[in-house]
Amino acid sequence: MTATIRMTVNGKPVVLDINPDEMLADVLRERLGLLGTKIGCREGECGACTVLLEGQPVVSCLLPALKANDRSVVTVEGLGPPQDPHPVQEKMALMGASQCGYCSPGFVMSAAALLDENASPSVEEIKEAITGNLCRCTGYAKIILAIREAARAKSH
Amino acid sequence: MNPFAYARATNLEDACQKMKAGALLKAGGIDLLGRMKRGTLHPELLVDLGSLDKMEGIDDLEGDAANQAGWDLGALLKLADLAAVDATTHPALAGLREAALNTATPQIRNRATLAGNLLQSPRCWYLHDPEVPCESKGGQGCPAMTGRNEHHAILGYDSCPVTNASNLAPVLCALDARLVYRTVEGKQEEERLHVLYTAPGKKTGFSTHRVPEGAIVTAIRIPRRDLVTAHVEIRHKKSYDWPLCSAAVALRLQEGKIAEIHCFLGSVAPTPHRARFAEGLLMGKKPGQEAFAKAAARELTQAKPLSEGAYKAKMSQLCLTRALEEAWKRAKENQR
Ligand SMILES: Cc1cc2nc3c(=O)[nH]c(=O)nc-3n(C[C@H](O)[C@H](O)[C@H](O)COP(=O)(O)OP(=O)(O)OC[C@H]3O[C@@H](n4cnc5c(N)ncnc54)[C@H](O)[C@@H]3O)c2cc1C
Ligand code: SF4
Ligand code: FES
Ligand code: FES
Repeated sequence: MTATIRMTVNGKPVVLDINPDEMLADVLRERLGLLGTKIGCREGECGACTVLLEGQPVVSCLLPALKANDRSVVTVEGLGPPQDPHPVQEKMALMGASQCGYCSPGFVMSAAALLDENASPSVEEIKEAITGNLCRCTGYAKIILAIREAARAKSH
Repeated sequence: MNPFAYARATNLEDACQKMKAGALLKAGGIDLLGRMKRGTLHPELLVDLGSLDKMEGIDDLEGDAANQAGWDLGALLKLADLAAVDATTHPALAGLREAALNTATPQIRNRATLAGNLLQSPRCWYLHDPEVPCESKGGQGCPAMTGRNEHHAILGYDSCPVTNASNLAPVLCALDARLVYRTVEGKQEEERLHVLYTAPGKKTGFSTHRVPEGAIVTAIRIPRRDLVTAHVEIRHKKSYDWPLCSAAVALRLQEGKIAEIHCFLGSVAPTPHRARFAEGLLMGKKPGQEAFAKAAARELTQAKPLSEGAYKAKMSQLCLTRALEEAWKRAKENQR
C-alpha cells in the first residue's frame, strides 16, 4: 500500500511513491542517491542520520518518509557543495574535526541548525547541540573548536 | 520490520474510528518504530496522530480569582517545546522543564511527544531483545531475576522488575497531573497519571499502564499552579541513555513549614515510585537539609535490589535529597 508524497529536498521538489515502512534515511540514500546522510544504529542513538526537517535537526532513521510529505528536508549535500561549503563543513574539514568521517554529516547538520538559531553560541551551547551525535574517533574537542570557528566565520 | 498499513488521522473522531480496527497509535514514533525494527512489536495498522495540530499547545485552565488553576498540555506537544517553557514565571513547571531538557537527544526531542514519552515501553534489555523469551512476552520466568539486572527495579515489583522509562512521569505525578483521553467508544475520561501506571506481573497482566486499549490521550492536565517543583537525575552519559535514577518533588510552604509535599522516584520501579514515607516524615514540618536527608534515607530502607541493583538505593536517596533541597530553595525564592 504505497502513498504519493511531495517534499522539498535540498530546495528541489521531489515526488515519490512511498511504503509506510520506508524510513527517510533509506529513501534519501537509496532512492535519491544522497549518500551523505549516514546510517549507524537505526535506533535514534548515534545521530549519523541527522537531517533538517523544516530547519530542525531530527534523526531520519526513525522518521517514516511519509511524514516528510509537504515538508522541506535538507541533507549535508544541501548545505553546500564542495566548491562552496557551509562554514561548518569548511572548518570541520580544515581543523581536523573529521577522521573516519562517518559521523561528520550528522555533526554538520546539528551544528548548522544551532548556528541558524544562535549566531555566537557558547561552548556549553555547542556541546548541548551535539549531544545527540556520537563520534568514535575524534574525542569531540576538535569538533567543538571547529563549530566555534564556523560561528565566527559565519558572522563575519 | 513487518509490512504494515498506515493511516493518517485527520481529526480526533477520525482517529477514534480508525482505532476501532485494533490499530496501534503512533505519535513521534521513536519508541514504536524502535520496537518494530527490533522485531518485538508487529502491528498491522498504525494510526498516525502527528498532524492533529490542536493537541500541540499549552492552554491555561479556566481559573479561580487567585488564578491558581493549571494547564492542559497537548498530548502531541514536543519534548523540545516543553524544554523551552518559561519556568521563571511558572515555578510549577520548572521541574517539568528540567525533566524534558534532560531527555534523550536534541534530534529526538524535536520529534518525541509528551503522551508518547509517558506511555513508552518500560526498560529491560531482555524485553527489547526478540531472541530472549520471558513471561512478559508469553514465555516463562524472568531472566533478569538471575541474570544482568543493574538497570532493573529495586522497589514495587512483583514478578517482572522492569522500570518505568519516562523522564517526565515522576514530576507530572508529583503535580498530580491527569491524563485526559478519548476511548474507542468516543467517551472522554480523565484519570490521575499515577493511578494509571501499574506494575506488570502475572496477576495484573503485562502492561505498565491502565489506559484502555485503543484510547487516545488528548491532553495532560496539571490541575493547579501553586506548587513549586524540582527534578534531579543522575546518568552515565548526558545523552543516548535513560537516567540511572531520578527524583521529582512538588511542594508548597506556608509560614515556614511544609504545607504540602509530593515526591516520586524514577527508574527504580515499574511505575514512578511514590515516596510515601518521605512525604509522611516531612509533611507539616520545618524544611531543612537534615530533615530531607533523613526522609530520603527512610524511603529507601524498603528497597529490594536484585544482585546488581544495590547502588540504585543509594543513588535514588541522593537524588531525592537533592530534589527536596532544590524545591525548597525555589519555594523560598518564589515567596520573595
Ligand atoms: C537514544 C534514545 C535515548 C532516550 N533517552 C530517554 C530519556 O533519557 N528519557 C526518556 O524519558 N526517554 C528517553 N527515550 C525515549 C523517548 O523519549 C521516547 O521513545 C519518546 O518520548 C516517545 O514519544 P513518541 O511521541 O515518539 O511516542 P511513540 O513511539 O509514537 O509512542 C509511544 C507509545 O505511546 C503510545 N501513544 C503515543 N501517543 C499517544 C496518545 N496520544 N494516546 C495514546 N497512546 C499514545 C503509542 O501507541 C506507543 O505505545 C530515549 C530514546 C532514544 C531512542
Ligand atoms: S523484567 Fe519483565 S520484561 Fe524483563 S525479562 Fe523479566 S519478565 Fe521479561
Ligand atoms: S542511524 Fe539514525 S540515529 Fe543512528
Ligand atoms: S570521525 Fe570517525 S566517528 Fe567521528
